[in-house]
Amino acid sequence: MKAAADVCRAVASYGLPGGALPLPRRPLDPPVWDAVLERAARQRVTGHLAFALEEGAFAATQPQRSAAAEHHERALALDLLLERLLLASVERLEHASIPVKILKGTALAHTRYANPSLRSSGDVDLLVPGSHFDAAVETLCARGARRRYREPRRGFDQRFGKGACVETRDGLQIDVHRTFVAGPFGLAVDPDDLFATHASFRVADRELACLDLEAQLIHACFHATLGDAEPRLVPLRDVAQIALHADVDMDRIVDLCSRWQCGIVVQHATRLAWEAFALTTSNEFVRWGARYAPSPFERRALDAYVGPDRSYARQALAGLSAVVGVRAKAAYARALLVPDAPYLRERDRGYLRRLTRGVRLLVNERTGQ
Amino acid sequence: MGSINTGDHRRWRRDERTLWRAGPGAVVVLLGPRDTGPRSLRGTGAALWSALDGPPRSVQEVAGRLATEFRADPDAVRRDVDPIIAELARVGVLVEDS
Repeated sequence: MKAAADVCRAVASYGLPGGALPLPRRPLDPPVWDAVLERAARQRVTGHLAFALEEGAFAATQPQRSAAAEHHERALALDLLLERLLLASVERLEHASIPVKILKGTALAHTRYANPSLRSSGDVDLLVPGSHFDAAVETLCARGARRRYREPRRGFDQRFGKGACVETRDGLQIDVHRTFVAGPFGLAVDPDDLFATHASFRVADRELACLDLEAQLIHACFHATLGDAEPRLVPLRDVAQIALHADVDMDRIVDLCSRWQCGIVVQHATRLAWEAFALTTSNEFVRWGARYAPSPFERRALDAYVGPDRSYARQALAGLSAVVGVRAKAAYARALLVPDAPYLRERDRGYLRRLTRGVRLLVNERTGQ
Repeated sequence: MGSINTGDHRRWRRDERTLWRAGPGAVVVLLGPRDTGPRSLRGTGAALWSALDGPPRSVQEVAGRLATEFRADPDAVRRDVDPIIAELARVGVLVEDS
């Protein structure tokens, strides 16, 4: 329902300077309201909805306000359960001498939003160095949690992968990251850079490490652009929220984009966020993104994520160009083309089928199909 | 279930291990260190949580703050606040300052 989608975009942009999307001035008809509420919950923007209603910016009936408050309360309850899981996970990793940083939801809620209840999460996101990756997954799985997807070959994830998803016994999810994203852009990020600077925030009685402001903003751009086929509202809001409310060091942004070959990701994410929320405000960050000239690598890489035939396989293939060194490229290609038998059973049912698929992708890539 | 005496000489603070979020519309969702699941405070409970944001306070002081904020009778506020503090202390999201 387009009307509900439009209202949700306006809700997600509530409070942003220069936001031009109108919120309803009269209570919505029940079918539209129900669709708005369902979508707001699914997109995890009930915080903005609840505040817009409370502050009178969004006209609604009393039952509608109560329903929105109830949904938001449920989202906050989940946030707290995830936060408890996060604290327990960090404690276990630290006990095992594994360095860890908090990514996305909880970190952004506590560092980039005026009220953490405006930024809800669906899981816990942790970043660990590649050299500790396997140990981190093993540590988190020690008490009955399980890893959801296998790696193609032993050691692949700690060297080339984005990360792993660990599910606890009560169904909560921990995403353990080595880098921001699978494929070429994730491989182009130097994981050492992510632990080179220090920033932190406080949750309860714990000080937790997170990315610095500029790395947070670039990561938000990755999440907004490269995560889902249809960009989600929360990461788009994160991009606009950080870009418009924080004092970003542009020299560092430019430096990181150059090192990680990801200026096009920042450019694309900024354009998506500004279009989605009809933002009229500009600043140095936005202007830099608009005039950025991407390299051929960046254009090809972006197409693997947002092009019409985007797929994990295309991203994996495009990743080959970001792997440095002939031996590393060979190890990467071997792991993807000839993975371990259990991985293969889950995915392709046979080596020949996988090899055929890989060759077909490679030919299409070369011929530009 | 034994009730907790919140007496005038006792001072209370949030247990700093308690996780919480304050939503709009005077609602606070809490997850204390001993809780199995989150709990919500509304109205006076949410205002009380907000009034305990700084140093430890006695029931009298909390009631005084809320009475000023809501222009209410301090004795009436105290009667409201007393059982809430006792309950929050019992479940472990508030602790007595020693």
